[in-house]
Amino acid sequence: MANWIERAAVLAWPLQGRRAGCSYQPIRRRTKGVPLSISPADEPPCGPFRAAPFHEASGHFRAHGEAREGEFRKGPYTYVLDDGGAFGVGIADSFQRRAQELGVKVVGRDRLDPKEPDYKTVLTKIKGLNPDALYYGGVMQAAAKLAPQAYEVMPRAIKAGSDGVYDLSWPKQSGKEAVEGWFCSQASPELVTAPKVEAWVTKFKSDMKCDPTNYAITAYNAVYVIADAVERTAKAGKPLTRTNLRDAIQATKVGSIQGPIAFDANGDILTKTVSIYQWRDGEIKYVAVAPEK
Amino acid sequence: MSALDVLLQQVVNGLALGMMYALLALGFTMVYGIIELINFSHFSMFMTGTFVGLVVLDLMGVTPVSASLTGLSLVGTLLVLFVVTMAVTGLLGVLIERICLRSVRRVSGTAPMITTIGVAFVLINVMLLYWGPQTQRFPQLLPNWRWPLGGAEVTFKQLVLFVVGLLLMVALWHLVRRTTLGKAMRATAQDADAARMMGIDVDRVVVLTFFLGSALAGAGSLFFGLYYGFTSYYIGYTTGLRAFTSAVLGGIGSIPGAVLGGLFIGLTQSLGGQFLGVKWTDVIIFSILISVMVFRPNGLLGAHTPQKA
Repeated sequence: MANWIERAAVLAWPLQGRRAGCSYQPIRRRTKGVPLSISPADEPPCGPFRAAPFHEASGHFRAHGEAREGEFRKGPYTYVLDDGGAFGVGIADSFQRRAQELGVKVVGRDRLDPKEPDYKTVLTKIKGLNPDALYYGGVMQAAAKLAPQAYEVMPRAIKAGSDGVYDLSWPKQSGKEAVEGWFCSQASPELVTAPKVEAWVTKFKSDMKCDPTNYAITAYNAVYVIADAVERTAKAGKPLTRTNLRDAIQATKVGSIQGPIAFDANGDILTKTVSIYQWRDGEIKYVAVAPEK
Repeated sequence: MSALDVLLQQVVNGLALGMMYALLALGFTMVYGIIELINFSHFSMFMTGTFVGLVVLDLMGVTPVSASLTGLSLVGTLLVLFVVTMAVTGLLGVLIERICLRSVRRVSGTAPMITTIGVAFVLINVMLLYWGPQTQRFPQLLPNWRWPLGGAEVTFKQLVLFVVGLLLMVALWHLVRRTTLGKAMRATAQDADAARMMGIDVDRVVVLTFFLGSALAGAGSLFFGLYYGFTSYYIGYTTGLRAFTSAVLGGIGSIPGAVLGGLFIGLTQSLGGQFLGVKWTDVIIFSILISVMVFRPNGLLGAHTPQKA
């Protein structure tokens, strides 16, 4: 493995760069390859290109979404939790910042230990502050326990998370009734139910024996971007070096099943779409595109 | 909720949490009290017990989504669940003692303790490899009854946890203090060679101690599953660390000390979380532990024992 990594010109990286953490950094040090991050990266950017919007944007859109949905018309108050990881803290920070800008009052902020089984202390504290909503920034390890305990302690509060809680196994882990009503987001347009990708989804299910998420499609497109960059570089008669491929990826303008793909000067995809979902009756349902402004 | 209601609820939460730690600390402190071994595999045994319980329930046709049980069928299910799980974890403890610990028991230094750490990691990784990293739901067999306590509330599960914890403490204390086996255990703890010379089968006493301690871990594991409604490969880590702290704080080797230490840690966790934030929990708990150790090295209820010649 060591040899091909050092020779690689482009890496398609499936995990969020910071969340990949220990595994990503040693590999990054061994290669000067141009990492193409397939899923949303954390703040600050960990690779030159991202085929899905930054989580900074995701947190912002989510806060917009919550403020605009009318759930908060009467003095919105929210409490923010994170799971202590780079991803969770980052997205919770982003949400909190934008929520405050939009006039949503953040009544408190605390950190969950993902390995802690009991969250009743913090949930009782939150209940005492009587917020309208609870936002959780983090992944499933804490969410799997947070959902049933939040359902028990504060069943009527609006609850939301990021794509960290967009996990098709969540009802199985926490119980259908516990995840009912939770909002979550994905840094991607709603793709899996779009008619234009029906054939792709059918083939994915047949080959992978599981349902795809939107990020499976963005991952597919990320590799497609790499292939397109390689093709353009080769057709231009340039050697397939990391520098040339980086420049080619920067100049990408391709259509794809997620729409047109092009990158800004920062390496972020130009079309920043964040979709909002809600868990209903044990299934995740698309709600809308989160407003950017 | 008013501020007083929140405080009252946090006290209730803390007592329930503390009793969970105490349940886990009881078996741990008993093993230390008898053979002076810090058995870190005890907490992984606790984690393993939850998965044994899941298998037992599955074999009885009880799953997280099956219809709830009442009356005699509930009592019968719980009885079978506890008896089988505690027997399995008890036997697993005996197996661990026989294979991994008996040969290093007389080795001075940290070799026995380090061996238990190795066993702990083996158990964690076996469970992780078999069950995977995802949280597994545990069937909720206990009814979800609740009673108001001012503006707070107490649940049936919290009451059961508290009452059972106290009963186990009393039963264990009675076993150690009032029975022939308990006398043999105390003799072995005091001086194993002298006990052997007096006709006590020390190896049998140690095996029984491990069986009891591991069976207690199994009981604790079932209460964990029934109370929280989930299990995972990592639950032994945080809960075990707090239980270890409870045992040390209360006086390692002291059965009432384990319960007192557990309740202290539970209340500290809930009240500290309320007033300072849950992110400070470990800082608070271990600061208190260090303070108690500095000023009272034997713990709150630990007795000073003279060094053996």
